[in-house]
Parts: sequence; C-alpha cells; structure tokens
Amino acid sequence: MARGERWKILEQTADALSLPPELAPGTPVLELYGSGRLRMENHRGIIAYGSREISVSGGKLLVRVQGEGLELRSMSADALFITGTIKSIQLE
Amino acid sequence: MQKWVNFLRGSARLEISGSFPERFLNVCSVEGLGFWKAEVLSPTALRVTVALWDLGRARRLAKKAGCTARRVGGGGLPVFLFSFRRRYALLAGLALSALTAAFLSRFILVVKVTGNDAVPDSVILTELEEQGFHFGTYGPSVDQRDLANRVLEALPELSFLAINISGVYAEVVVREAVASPEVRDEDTPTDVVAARDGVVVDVNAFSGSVSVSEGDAVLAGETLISHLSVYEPAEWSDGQTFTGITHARGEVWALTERTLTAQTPLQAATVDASSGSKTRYSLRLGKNVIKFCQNSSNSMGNCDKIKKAWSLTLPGGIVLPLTWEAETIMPYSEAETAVSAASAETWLKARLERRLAAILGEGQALSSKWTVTEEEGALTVTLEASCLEDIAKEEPAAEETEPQEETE
Repeated sequence: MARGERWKILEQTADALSLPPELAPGTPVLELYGSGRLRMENHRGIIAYGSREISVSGGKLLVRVQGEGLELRSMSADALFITGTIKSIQLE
Repeated sequence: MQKWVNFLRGSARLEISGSFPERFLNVCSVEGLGFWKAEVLSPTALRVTVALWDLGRARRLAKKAGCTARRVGGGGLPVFLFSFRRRYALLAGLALSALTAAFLSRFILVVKVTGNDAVPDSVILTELEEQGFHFGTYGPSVDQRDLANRVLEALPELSFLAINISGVYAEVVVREAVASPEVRDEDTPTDVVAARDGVVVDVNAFSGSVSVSEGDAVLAGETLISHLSVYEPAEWSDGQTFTGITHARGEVWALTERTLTAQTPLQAATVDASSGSKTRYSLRLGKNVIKFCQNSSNSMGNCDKIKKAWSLTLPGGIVLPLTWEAETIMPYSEAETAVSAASAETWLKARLERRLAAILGEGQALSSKWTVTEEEGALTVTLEASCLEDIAKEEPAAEETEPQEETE
C-alpha cells in the first residue's frame, strides 16, 4: 500500500471514530506562538534552510515558513523549533 | 537552566559545508544528535552548535550527509579548563592546594561541648587539653574511647562522655552525673546549743530531749536540746525507763540583740577620660596571636582597655578559631572627689540591712536603731537590732555517755 493511501485511510478512520485529528499517527502539528516562535511535530526533515525561508517536509504537506532572521533553534526526530520574525506560513 | 547545562557540558561550533547542508540537519534529527543555534552562512554552508561529547559523532554524520564539518569555535567549562593545559605552575598550584586542603582537614580546628549544664565548657576543654586533645590535634591519631575514659576518670562530675570527630570539627557530648543525696549523720552524739545569747521564745525538738523552756534566758554555747533521750514506759506497763543517745536536732527561736557597723570614707577616687586613645589590631588563630602593631607595650599609665572580637562563624553557628581582635586603650586621670554624707549614709544603711537579712535567714528584725557618726573624714553607721531568730546550732557532745537503764 502506497504511503498516501495509508495516510488517507488513517484520516478516514479518525473521522469515522470522531477522534481528534492530532491522534492520527504522523499528522503534522504546528504550534505558532505569536509571530516569533513556531513548533512543529511529526516533520519529515528540512527541505531548504535559510534566514528568510525554511521549508519543512510534513509528509504529504510541505510547510514553507517565511520571515526575517529565521533560525532553527532545535531539532529532533519528532519535533523542531523555529524562531525569528515569522511573516507567513504556507502549506503546499 | 539549559544555558547552565550547556556551559557545564561544553559545546563545539561546527561549520557544515556541502551541496545540501540541510541534509546534515535531517540526519542529526533522525540519529538523535541534538544541536542548536543553526545559522545559515550561504546556500552551501551553515553553522550549528553541538555538545562537546557529540563532536566526533557530528563529524561522522556530516560525512554521511555528504558534507564536511569544520570546528570553528566552542565554549563551556571543559573548554575553559582545557585552555589551562599548558599552564603547569597553575596546575601544580591547584594540585598542591587540593592536597593541602585534604591534609589540613584532618586536624581538629573546632571543639564544641554539648550536654553540660553545671560543669562549664572551660573545665571540660581544659581536661581534654591536658589529655592531649586540643586545637591542632591530628584527628585520625585520637583514640576516642580511650580519651573519653581518661577524661571521665578525671572529672567525676560527668557520667558519660563521647567524642565525635568529623573532619576539622569535634563534638564532645557529655552527660552530667546525678549528685548523691546527703546522708544524715545519725550516729554521732550531738547536742543543740545556743549560737548566741537570747531569750527562748519557742522550741521545736525533732530528736533529743529539750533542756530549756520558753522564757528562759540562755548564753551562747548553752545546751538547748540534749543528745540524751529519756524514754518513759507506759503508765499501765511494768516497763523500764531508758536513756538513749541520739543526734539531737531542732529549732530554738529566741529574741536576740545584734549590732552591725559599717564605715566608708567621704572622699572617693573618680576617673576622667583624657584624649589620646589608640586601637591595636590582632589576629588570633587558635592560641597564636599575630599583632599588627610594632610596639605592643602600654606606656600610658592609667588606662581603660576595651576589647572587641569578631570570630569567623560558619552557617549553623560553628565558630572557627579565627578571631579578629581590636583593643582600644583609653587613658584616664584620677581625682579625689567629696562624697555627700547623705548618699554615703543611705548606701551604708542599705548594705547593713542586706547583711542583717542574710544573717537572720528565716528570722526577722523586730526593731532597729541607727547611729550615724562622722569622724576623721569617714562616716560610720551602726545598726542595733532586736531580732527573732533561730539560735540552734549542732555541736558534738562533749563526752560520750553510755546508755543507762533505770529501774523503777
């Protein structure tokens, strides 16, 4: 089974059981604290890294964070933490 | 908090260069290698900070990600200490200091006595010192049990003594012996005699036979209660009368006359503080004193000395034997000043009243007459008092008398 299909089945199962979507394994979770800090769980790695733009893979999503003086403050296999002046977050 | 942890464990700044330096970040996150302060230098280079112990692992992961890692800096305690690796004198000094501290910590610097109430600290400390345990004693050489036994032998006022040594601190725990009650002497034949002349008012004999009655005038030394006790048989019995020897005891209250005299000169020496005080400082380490003045002798003649001391005290109240002392010497001059007769009379009367009260004990003065005379620059006060007091005084019987048996 392809990864996209498995993801879709998990989402549909969570909807059918009325479970919170964050309980579905592997779902990217983004927490934005004001405009200065962003925490992301369940990422799949950094795609591009710069002080004006950081792109992070979220599985089927690509999270593009744009701003000024962006910095990857910490990063682990599950979560990462971005600081700086965040101006926009795009999901692709 | 995290800053302190990073400082203690040390950190290394790495510059990662390669076609896709982001791969290094992803590899680190997958492998669980923590990093922080990721800074982009160019599309092909970035800098990160890793823990010092992860430096080798970070280099391997950079190679795995197709990048090169170059150390460009670092910080933290291990890096700071490592920078001293070629300062041999400093390292030798540190090692010497550590050894000195370890060696000196085996000598007794503080001795504290606890658990005593009637026996002063100074008595116990003096005895410990005589037994060879004092400031500066090498702690491991002390046989604590033997020392405690020797001190207990020398101080019978103590029933228990233990010495607990902890580094430079020695705690001497003591328990005081309970005093044995006084044993009354019942065997020695003793009379109760009059301590002074008087007229008997009341006689309470606890043992012995009463020789006087109320209203009798007695002289000092006269027997009031005899050591010879006569035991009469019951009227309806055929028993015999016994005369036994006993230790006579009792109270004999009598009217007495007492005369007390006190005298004081009407000139007194007073002191006037003069200028020119000076202060000397010294440092006391145990029993050794380091004086911070060249001439320690006193050439000022009459002077007052005020000494202040500040001891080094640890948190918890442990006083270390290191004391800073300041001794201020203030010269003064003496002068003769007249004392008013009224104040001298008041002072002497108060003294005589206190002395009479101490003499009478439970007795009391019934009446008193004061006489004040001033002669040759001195004031004399005489107190003549009529008193009610206990004049009983125990004295061993003059000669031992064998008990006699009398037959009726």
